[in-house]
Amino acid sequence: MAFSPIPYGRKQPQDRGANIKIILKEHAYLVPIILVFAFLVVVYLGSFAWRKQLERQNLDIQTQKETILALSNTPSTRTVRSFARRVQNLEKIIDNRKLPSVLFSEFENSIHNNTLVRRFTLNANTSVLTLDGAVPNFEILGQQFVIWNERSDFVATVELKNFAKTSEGQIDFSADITIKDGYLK
Amino acid sequence: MDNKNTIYTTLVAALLFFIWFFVWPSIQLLSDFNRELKNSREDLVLLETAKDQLQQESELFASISASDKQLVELAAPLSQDRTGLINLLNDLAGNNGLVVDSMSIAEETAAARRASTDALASMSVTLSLEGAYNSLKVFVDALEQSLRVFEIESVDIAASQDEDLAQFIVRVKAYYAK
Repeated sequence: MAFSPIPYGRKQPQDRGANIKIILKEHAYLVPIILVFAFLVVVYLGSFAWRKQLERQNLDIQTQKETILALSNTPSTRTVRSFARRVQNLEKIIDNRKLPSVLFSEFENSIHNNTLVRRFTLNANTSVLTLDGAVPNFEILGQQFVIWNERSDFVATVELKNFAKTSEGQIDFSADITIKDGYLK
Repeated sequence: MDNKNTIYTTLVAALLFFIWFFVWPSIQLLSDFNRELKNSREDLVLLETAKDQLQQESELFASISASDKQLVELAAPLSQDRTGLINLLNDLAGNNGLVVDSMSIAEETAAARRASTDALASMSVTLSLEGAYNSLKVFVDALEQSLRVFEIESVDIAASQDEDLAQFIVRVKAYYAK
């Protein structure tokens, strides 16, 4: 049978758009998953770009930090810092230190004419003044404690630690006086 | 129908694989980077503040006169300067009518010095003195006014046989730069 090498007859029109439509229609159930996949690919690729940007920012910050650290470690800045810290410490010490000199005259005024103070021990850290003394009799001892308790600005509390009558007839006593907060400033 | 299911299952598995091995690690990495960056930024803010403070201190330091700097040197010298300290206390006592019987200096322990973040270390000086009570008052006042900073820790006054004289023990703290 003879045949013609040239195609003949009416060609079937190929409707590409229709084919794609058919394919899409057939695989429509895959569309959501493909969209999710595409979104995740974008996120994944975007994360590379973002990471690069973060790395660059971090590098910039590291450079700035190193510059500042280098600046703060020069001999002149070390001198300044050391001087500043010394001044700050001195200021704190001077502000907080106790000044026992303010106590003397007030303490002298608080001593009864007939009281003899044998020992005066002031602990400035605890603000406690420990006294050893003698009075001629219990009446004077009572008056002395009234003066300290009621008429002395520097006294916060007075504690009579002990007292005893001596062979000479006088009363030896020892007492702790707590000085008011802020008085020794 | 089977073919559809196979394709669907394969795609979902591929998606999960992609999420688990690519997307999630990438998000974790980003989160780590972000945290690191946040910490770095906070460090930078602190450093910037320190730098500003340092700049202010440098300007202040430059504006302080040499004589004022000398005052700080006197208040808390760069070294212990024990000789200077002993001479100064001896002079203060002598100038105010007191006789120094003895003087002892105790340093802070090395551990205490290391533990403290202060720029100054201290020495405790115990002075045993003899003289009149009024002289002690002036001496204590002089210690408080001294250019070398002293912190009086305790004052002990004890009567002696001689009515005009008394024994005194004064403990003071003196400072020097570490």
